[in-house]
Amino acid sequence: MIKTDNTFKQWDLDILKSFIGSTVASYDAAIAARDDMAWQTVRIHTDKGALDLTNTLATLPLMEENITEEIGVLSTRKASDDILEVDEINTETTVFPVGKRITDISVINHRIVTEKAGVAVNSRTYTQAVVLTFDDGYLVFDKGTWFDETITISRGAELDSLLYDDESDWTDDPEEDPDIHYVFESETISLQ
Amino acid sequence: MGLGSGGGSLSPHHGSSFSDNLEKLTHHFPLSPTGYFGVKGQGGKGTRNIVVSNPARMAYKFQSLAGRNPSSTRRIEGKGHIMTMADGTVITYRYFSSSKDRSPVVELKIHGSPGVKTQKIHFVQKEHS
Repeated sequence: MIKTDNTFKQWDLDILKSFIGSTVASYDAAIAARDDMAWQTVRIHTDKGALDLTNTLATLPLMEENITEEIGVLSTRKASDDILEVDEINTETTVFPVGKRITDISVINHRIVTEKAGVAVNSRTYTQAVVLTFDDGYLVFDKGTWFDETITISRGAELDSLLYDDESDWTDDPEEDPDIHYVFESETISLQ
Repeated sequence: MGLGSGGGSLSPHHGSSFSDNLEKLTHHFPLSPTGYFGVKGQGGKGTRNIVVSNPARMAYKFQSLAGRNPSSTRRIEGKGHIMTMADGTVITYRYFSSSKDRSPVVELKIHGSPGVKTQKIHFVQKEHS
């Protein structure tokens, strides 16, 4: 069975954790589609420094070793306090004010196990979303469907309604793939 | 939900919905009863192949029909462009993919068209016999 793991590593989690307790002044994004889909990177500005979340395409085995697809992979790094510049897309960066203190940061990881004729052939684990928790709600950065090169940003008080329904992308489709069964798992890791 | 003030808002209030364009699109590119274009791709769930003798032209035609009169279009330097339709469907056109044949790709992230599934379509060169 092919296994790939694109979840955040410990150093990524340590970076995120260091921002708990900070106040988010704003975030920057080059909005590529709708009013909530940022092209590749979102920069979060806090009173403890800035942080980039990026969704870039990686070529990974989706089913079998010799069959690959471009799949969005989330990553994070500390960033400069400068306004984000995204050269690749022909739109200006927008600055979205926030002004709220982070009380927790959660990372949401998903695992898809693909079974072909009853045999597990592929297991892919990845970080789907990062959730900033405030006293009165959430700010969510979600990588959306598997081929997206964008980050969907949403704010609100009901977390479930802010997350992309990734599980629905991995429901069985017996008319198209009668031999294929998907097992979907989700875990939420609180860094508090 | 809107995200705040700024110059980047692309709320899909005007233009055509993806469903408005579906009749002309499916006239040229048939849709399966299960909501997919083309044939099943090798990449797994949601990957499709449209096998044609002129992939670049057909990919361009597909995205032109699917994305006629969009609410917004953003050019992605050296890669293609991304369109938002009035119903919130997002169509991404890529000149080429990372696959060996560098086949062009159209990605459909469907919103509000229950008969069509979210999918990534490779336009693959037909082998000459």
